[in-house]
Amino acid sequence: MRAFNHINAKSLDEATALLKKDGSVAIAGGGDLLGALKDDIFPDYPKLVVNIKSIPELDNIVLDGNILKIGTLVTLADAARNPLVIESAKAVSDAAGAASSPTLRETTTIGGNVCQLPRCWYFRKLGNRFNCARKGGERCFAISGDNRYHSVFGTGVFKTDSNTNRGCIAVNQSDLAPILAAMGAEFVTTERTIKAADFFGVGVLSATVLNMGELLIEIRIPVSEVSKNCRYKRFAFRKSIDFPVLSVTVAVDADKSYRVVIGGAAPTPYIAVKAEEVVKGKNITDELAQEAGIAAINGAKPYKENEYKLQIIKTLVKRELIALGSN
Amino acid sequence: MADLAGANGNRENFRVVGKPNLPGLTSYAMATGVAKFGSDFTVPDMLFAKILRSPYAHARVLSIDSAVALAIPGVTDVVKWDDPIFSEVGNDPMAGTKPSFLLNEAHKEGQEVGAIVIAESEALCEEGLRALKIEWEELPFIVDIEKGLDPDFPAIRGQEYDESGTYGAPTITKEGHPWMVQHYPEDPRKVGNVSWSTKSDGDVAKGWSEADFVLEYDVNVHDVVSLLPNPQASVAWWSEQNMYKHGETLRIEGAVGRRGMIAQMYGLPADNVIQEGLFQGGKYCDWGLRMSQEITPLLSKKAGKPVRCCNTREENFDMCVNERHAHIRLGVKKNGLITAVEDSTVIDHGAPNSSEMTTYDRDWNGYYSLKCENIIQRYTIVDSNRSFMYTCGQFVPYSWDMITVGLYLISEKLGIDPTEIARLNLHGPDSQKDTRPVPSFEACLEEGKKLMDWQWHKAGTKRLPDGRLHGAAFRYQMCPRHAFLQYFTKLEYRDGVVHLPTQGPIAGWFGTECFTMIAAEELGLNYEDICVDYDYRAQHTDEAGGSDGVTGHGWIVKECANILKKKILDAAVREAEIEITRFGPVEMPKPPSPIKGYTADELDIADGKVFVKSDPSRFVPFSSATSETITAEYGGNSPKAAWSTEFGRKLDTMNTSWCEVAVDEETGEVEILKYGVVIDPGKVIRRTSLESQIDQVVYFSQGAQLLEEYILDPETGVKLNANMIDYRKPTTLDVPVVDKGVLETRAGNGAYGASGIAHNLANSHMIVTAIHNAIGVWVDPPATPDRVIKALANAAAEKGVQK
Repeated sequence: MRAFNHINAKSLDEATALLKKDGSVAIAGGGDLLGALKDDIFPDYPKLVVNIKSIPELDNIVLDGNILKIGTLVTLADAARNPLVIESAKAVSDAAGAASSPTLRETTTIGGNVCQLPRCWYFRKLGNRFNCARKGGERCFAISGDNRYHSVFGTGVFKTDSNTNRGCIAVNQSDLAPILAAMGAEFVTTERTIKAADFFGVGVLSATVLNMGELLIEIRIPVSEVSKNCRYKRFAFRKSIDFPVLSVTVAVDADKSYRVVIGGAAPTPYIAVKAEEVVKGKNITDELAQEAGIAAINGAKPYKENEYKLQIIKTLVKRELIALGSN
Repeated sequence: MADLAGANGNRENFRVVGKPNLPGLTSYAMATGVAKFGSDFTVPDMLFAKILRSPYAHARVLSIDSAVALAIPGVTDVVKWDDPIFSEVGNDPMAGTKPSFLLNEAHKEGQEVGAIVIAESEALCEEGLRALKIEWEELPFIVDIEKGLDPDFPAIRGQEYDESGTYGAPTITKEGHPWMVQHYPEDPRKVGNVSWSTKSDGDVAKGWSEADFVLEYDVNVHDVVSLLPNPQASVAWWSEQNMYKHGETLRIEGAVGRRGMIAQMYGLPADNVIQEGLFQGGKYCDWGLRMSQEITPLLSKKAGKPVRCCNTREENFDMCVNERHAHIRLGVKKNGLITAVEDSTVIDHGAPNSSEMTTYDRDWNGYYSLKCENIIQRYTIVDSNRSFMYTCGQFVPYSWDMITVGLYLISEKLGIDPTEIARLNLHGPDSQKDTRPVPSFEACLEEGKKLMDWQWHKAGTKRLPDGRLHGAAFRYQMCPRHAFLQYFTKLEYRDGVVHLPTQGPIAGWFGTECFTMIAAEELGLNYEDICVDYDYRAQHTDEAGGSDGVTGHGWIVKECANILKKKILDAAVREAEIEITRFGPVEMPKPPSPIKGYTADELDIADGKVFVKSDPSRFVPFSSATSETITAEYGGNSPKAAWSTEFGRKLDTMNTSWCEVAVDEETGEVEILKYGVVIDPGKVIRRTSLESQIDQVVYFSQGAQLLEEYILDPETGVKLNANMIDYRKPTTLDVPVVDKGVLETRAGNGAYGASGIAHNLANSHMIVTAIHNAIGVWVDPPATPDRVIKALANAAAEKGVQK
């Protein structure tokens, strides 16, 4: 790892001011950043690392009326074992308890999990070997390379500083992102409040729509039928350590309006609208669930190496809807 | 071969050998962090070194401008490939010859090439490397060995590389592999990147004529990284102190048990190379000594200061077991008896300086365990830029599975339990013509069936209550052994205690603990009575060649212990005759010894006493049996192991492995429901070691068949998953507990009839065979969910079924 300056921010104002300067990055649990720094994956090595763990009051979990508020610095382990989370949004607890590894969950944070950069192996290759579009380069190497873990729902298109369109097929592998999208969570930042559906994005060195210097402070989950009737299923090759190759979140409200959100399938959490339409207002049957599974992959555009993902999505959507229906 | 104790196969009662839960001698140090590894050594004024690594799969460094790097404060030197200092170092005798120690051509991404930066910290080394202005020439590369088969593809290595070799084995030249040219002159010579070699036994044409049908199948083995759990780190420094013998002394730590070889490379007497560190981290029959470990003495000499060189995790992903694609034809009689074998294999030769053993040697193949003697093996060998392909213990059992799959497919075709097909085809103990059963195999087979509650079924016919498909598989192997090596042991009785001087570093298989147990057994002592003196100058070494070598070496220890025992008893007789004790000038009468008047033959040692066999009440404590210092030495070979000389044409101790899987057809997930092994190590020496070796090997096999894969970018040849997230070694949560059955037929060649089990349980295809038994479709390893889904989809498409 190269040398850099490190500052323990004492307040959000101090942190955001520092993070607006070129060459600065925020660190909390370090689960994402430390690996990136060690592997030297950035085109420009950060000069300043701003520690936000030193900012007080960002690691609380409170139930405020019917809003569950989870501070950005809450560790995955704390989120997983917190009674309020278990009671009002168990899927969040399930996902937090399955993410990463037992040891890392004690240090890595909810905020870090939802803001993490792509795990694409071209993006992550040591020494910035592939200066890909997601780092400001000209192309996505995965499109013509080995894309077995990449998007089956198209390319994330974004504009560079020079207003040029670029595309990237790396997927969002956050465990929590699809659940928060399904639950209609809101993300409170130092500048605004953003709906979950709008929070995740694709940009140069970014997996969210956060501006430079803008920090996530808190996640607000409406406690409702949806947050309580929500199931999360991650699909990974190993039982620990792995990021999910795919995940499926299903939820339903009192009016039998369903949410079906797929993680690991697209550059941002993918809302399977067609699947939701199939089951809307209906009781789940095996046949209906199967139909929804097929609908979930409607419009998919897999690459040569990742067509298998469609079969898994189809199956997981079907099984999770059946399980949801039998609750 | 002498059997001084007369107790190899017929000793019945064991007090120490086989006793469970005796602690490892170094376990406390390892468990508490006291153990010091290569990277833990810090020396005053130490400098650091980092070697430039190629970002390309095949490239040449045309020039390097180091001015900017050298201007960085703290960067002390940039050593380029053409520096004359490289002529001062010889070749690692195990690594064959190289045109030069550091070259300006890299044959794989990540290979050391061109320059080494020396600086005051590792970070400064890296900064120096980044500051080098390098003119690269990218060269054609092969990471897809099918591409390498194209005769029009440019040759990727020059003759100077063809003539280099590894582990004493010369590689192919333009004229072909020297050994193959000598024995099989009809093989065509190398063309482009491809060479060929053929090995033929028996009368294959006759075998085909005797067959009732021909079975054809493919066995594909993918690259699996021979990954050490700890990245290598070594530190070296020189001294003119004339501490030992004469001349300068080299101290090197972290060089993975190669002190003697480092001495040869640097032209030093072995005793002038000091390596006191005992710990080198995990190592599983990986002989690859990394350049970072060999080069630190040279850099230290140039710098005039100690130098440390550490590899990163990524840099450690540089050695693989060869990828190979075998197309096999078996001639088979109606009853399942194999009459002919034809194996056409395309094999990845890897980058220059890969091990040739893995590429050419096929005597270890399981075909020779068959009664069928008509065998032809044609190898097509393709140079590549994928990785170094290194001798790795897993290789031997891997090649065995070409026949594991064949026996299974015969059983599927004929509807006969594969254990019966194996029994029918396995030859007898003495030769391929021997039709008698092998007792060890029969015992392991029957015990294995009980262990697993074995109920064979045809492929795709058993569904579990949860809807998944059930599959089962079995394989056998003999216990391959390295007992062709010569070993040496010295024991010393000093101040009433038996010492076992042992050279470090420890290799990780707890051989010394086994030797201690054997010595204690023979000397009538307890495990803790033997004092192990770790001394790098000792000739006795923990490095014995795996558990199989330990048992061969154990024979030498046993013999040596009996020599020592006889000497101690002789000395005890002499001591008993002494009537006066002297303290300087003072003489005092000594009480009469209870064993006075007896001969050594009339005495024995047990329970810490030297006693009269006919009257055990007459004894002296072992610790004061004699005041003499007594040494015993013994060296040589253990009795020959069948495998070492016959490579499967003779069979003694064997084993069976079994597994049951459940396959989810919809998600492609495979779960191992049960994994069992029944082994015959001949005689268990240290059960803890035996069980942990079983667990390790099965862990390796499960990872290789279900998860692990070495992935290279097809466009650039760059490794994509050289880290512990993307290269998926199983975690402890991913592997089931291995059910173990241990038999002791005493049929091995080592101490007490032990043979060890070596790597024989490692396999490339038993789990995927079980998957086939579940779903009726072949999935090449690693059988990850995506591959299972693809295989099922392809099979359905072939049948015209819409999935």
